[in-house]
This record gives sequence, C-alpha cells and structure tokens, in this order.
Amino acid sequence: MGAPKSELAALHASHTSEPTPPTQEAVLAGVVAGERWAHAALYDLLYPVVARTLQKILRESSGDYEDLVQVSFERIVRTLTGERRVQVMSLSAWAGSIAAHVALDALRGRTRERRLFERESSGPSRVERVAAPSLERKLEARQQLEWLQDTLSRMNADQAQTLLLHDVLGHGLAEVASMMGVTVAAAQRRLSRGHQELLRRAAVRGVRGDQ
Amino acid sequence: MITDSRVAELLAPFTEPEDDLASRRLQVDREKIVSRMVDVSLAPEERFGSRARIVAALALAAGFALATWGGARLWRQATPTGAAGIEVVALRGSVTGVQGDKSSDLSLGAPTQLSPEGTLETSQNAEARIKTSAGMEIDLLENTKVSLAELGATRVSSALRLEHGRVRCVIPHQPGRTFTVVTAAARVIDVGTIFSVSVEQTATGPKTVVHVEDGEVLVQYPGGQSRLTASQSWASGSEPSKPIAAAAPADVAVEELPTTQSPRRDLVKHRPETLAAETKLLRSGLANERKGELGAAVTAFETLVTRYPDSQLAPDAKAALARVKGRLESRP
Repeated sequence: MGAPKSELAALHASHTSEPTPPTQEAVLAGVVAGERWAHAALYDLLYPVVARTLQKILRESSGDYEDLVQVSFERIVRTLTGERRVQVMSLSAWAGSIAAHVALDALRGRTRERRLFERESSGPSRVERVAAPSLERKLEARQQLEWLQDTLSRMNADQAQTLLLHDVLGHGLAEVASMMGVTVAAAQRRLSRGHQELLRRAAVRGVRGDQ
Repeated sequence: MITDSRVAELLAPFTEPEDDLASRRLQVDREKIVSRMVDVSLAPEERFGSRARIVAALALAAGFALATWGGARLWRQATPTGAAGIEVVALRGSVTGVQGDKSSDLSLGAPTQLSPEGTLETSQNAEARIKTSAGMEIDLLENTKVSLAELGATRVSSALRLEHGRVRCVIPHQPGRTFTVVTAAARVIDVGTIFSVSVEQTATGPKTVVHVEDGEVLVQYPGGQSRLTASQSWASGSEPSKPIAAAAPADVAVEELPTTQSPRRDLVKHRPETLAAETKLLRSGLANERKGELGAAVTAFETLVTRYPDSQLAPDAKAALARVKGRLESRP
C-alpha cells in the first residue's frame, strides 16, 4: 500500500509522543496488533475519502450513514489484518474503492426494499419533499440522480463498481484493475460493458418516457 | 476519464460538484467506529493469541493451498465439460457452506471459490452473494438456505433450489440459456431479468413468493403457469396473498395474462421490448373479442402470430384466433 509516509507521520505525531515518525508499516502493524492509536490514525487518514465517496454516490444524508462509514472501516481493517493482502497504488484510493463498494451495496439494498415493500408508495416521495427555491431544476436533478442510483444498483456489480471507480471517482484503469484484483484488460472490458449497459438502460427509459 | 459524452451526461449527478456536499456535517461517532475497528482487528487474537495466530495462519495457508490443489484436481476429474465453479462472497453475518461432509464458515468480504454442489446457508442478519461464470448474481438474504447442486450444471440451463429464505437474482439475457429457481411449490424460470424468490414458513406450510423487478419470469406450479413482468408478484396457494401489494392469488394469471394447463413447454428467451409488444397485441385481441369487434380481434391475433411466431404467447393467440374465427363463421 502506498500511502504517503508524511501523512501517516503527521497523524501519528498527533496521537503519540514518539519523536520518530512511524512508517506506514508501523501503522499497519499497529492495526494488526490491535493498538488503538493506529486505528485512530488510520480512521483520521481515511475518513475524508470514505465520507466523500459515500456522499458522492449516495448524495443524501440517510439515517444509515454512520452505519455505512462503520461498515467501510470494518472492511478496511479486515482486509488489512486478513490473510488476503491487496496491492494498491494508494491507500486512500483503495479505501475509496471499499467505500464505493459499500455505497453500491447500500443502493442495491435500498432498491430491493423499495421494490419488495413498495416503501415509496406510502407518503410523499423523496422527490416531493425537495424544497424550493428553483424547485423544478432540483426536481429534475433529483429524478436524474434517483434513476442513476437505481440503474447502478440493478447492473452487474462488477461493472457498476468499475464504472464508479473510473468514471465517478476518477481512478485510472490500472488502478481500478489493481483495486478489483483483475487485469487491466478485464477492467477495460467491465468498463466498456458498464457503459453499454448504462446506455441501454437509458435508451429503454427514453422509450418508456420515464424522464 | 469518460470518453463517451452520453455516458458523462448520464453520470453527471455523481460527477458534478454539489454545493452542499462539503458543507454537510454528517454526525459520526468517531470513538465508536475506532472501537469497532479495534474489535475487528482483535477478533482472531482473542481466540488464539498472536504467535498462535501466525502459526495457524501459515498452517491454514498451507492447508488451503493443498486443498485447493487437490480440489482442483478432483474438480477437473469430476466436472463435466462446460461446468464451472462459482464464487461466493459473504457480505455480512455468518454464511456457511456445506460440501460433502465438510462445513465451513465463509470469510466476510473475501471471495470463495466453490464447486456447484452442497448447500449455502445464511444466518440471521447475514447476506451472501453468488456469482457464476455466466455472469449471474444471486443474493442470499438472511435466514436463507439454497442447494447449489444444479447451479451452472450445463451450458444451457442451471437451477438454484431454495429451501427457505429469500434470494434476489440478477440474470443477464443470454439467448438459449435458462435459469430457474426451484422451490417446493413452484419453478421460477427467468427470461433475462431481476427477480426475488422467497420461501416463508406459515401456519399452513411453506409459501413461495415471487417478485419481478425487471424483465420477465415464468412461474410454473402444479396446475398451471403464470408470466410475471416488472413490478408483478406471485404467491403460492398455501396462504392468501396479502403481504405484497401486487401479489396475485395462486393459480390465477397475473393481470389477466393467460395461463395454460398444459405440461411445461420449451422455453424460449425473449427480449423484454418484444414481449411488451406481444402482450399488448394479445390484450388488444382479447379486448376486441369481449367487445364483439371480432374483425379487429382477428387482426390483432394474426399480427401477433405472424410477427412473433416464436412468442410464448403464440399458442394462446392461435387458440383465440380459432375461437374468434369460429364465432365469425357462425354469424348469420
């Protein structure tokens, strides 16, 4: 993992009084050893990217936001302390990819619940609760966002995640491939298929006049 | 970088900066999450201790490598050509795979390769995802048990047996291939779609509930079959349909779509867009027949039969066509 040492050193310094800045390996070793300062350092380092990723994909502050942050960090720690180590170019980018995965799972869960229990049919919809000013523009933007979230939650998970990592979070294909544990060619195929599927669903939506 | 401008446009809600994103102050209990992180990293150590954990990890790794090598050899010998392994990911909670005499708990978040045999079971608050080489994704929700024996068995068909609980299936459209969820009460056959099947225990016995999110499925049950499209549901007859708003009573076609009492006929995959047109034509013909506009009914049925000769609705349309023509001939 290639998180800049200076970031970690600064964080470590704020949590301990040791004069020698810890290396990334020291922090990770601290996490493996269950040392609280190391977990706190890791949290502080990665929280911005985790929060930004969750909020970028989910957009609204739902009641389960804290749960999603916690799930993201649990997965991060499990992977760091588990036997399966991943080779990534950047620790924060890798954490972002985990948060993207968590966000995607959350979207899929919401879609499933909405479909199964018709939650949206009772009471005012989220769209109707959007407040003015420029209500129409906001309504249109919100509808577009909801369609996109719904569409991604229905797509093949690997394709959707590749699309999010590359197109939304701005990672290069090599980095996406590394994060997902596949070859660059496979990542390229997933991205291409994800684009095709997104366009196909948009075309179907246009035909149905759902816009 | 997004190269396709249309894709960029569609993804704009995610990529455009949102004014209030940075200003949001979402409340997160940092200490609680850090404590949870510590718990997670300490969890294995609580049982074994640090040194024992390293030794156990090495032993496990060696055992796993040996088992993988041996399993792969056995798998190559035992698996018919065309069959493939499946990947299972435990998303949360306790997920147990049983293959032969061996039972193992799956690691959270780590993909596990399994051969299509045995069972997979989730406990309360657990969730798992099965991915097949054919691109199918099947989510197992909590308290669910499935049999994997027929999953990916052949190139043209595969099936998942749902003992109890609920599964959600995302099935890519692949002409010539079928995927079926089998319960004690029904067979749910996909036609390239997203759907859920649950088996719930009720006072009168297990009840199967099918809900289609996207695309179309065919539900076969003793005494007939029903075709379900997006947002439609079906429930088996062991209990009156009440939990799901759109659920239809058992043995009744959903939204007046025709059912047949005949044995299962070969299933041909259809594209959802043509299925909608086929359904529309059949409905139109039936509506005209009811109104007594027999000429218009004949036109609609004939259009369906000639334009979509392979349609699953074609037999119904042909039967209706014969009936209407008989009525026309008997007119003075």
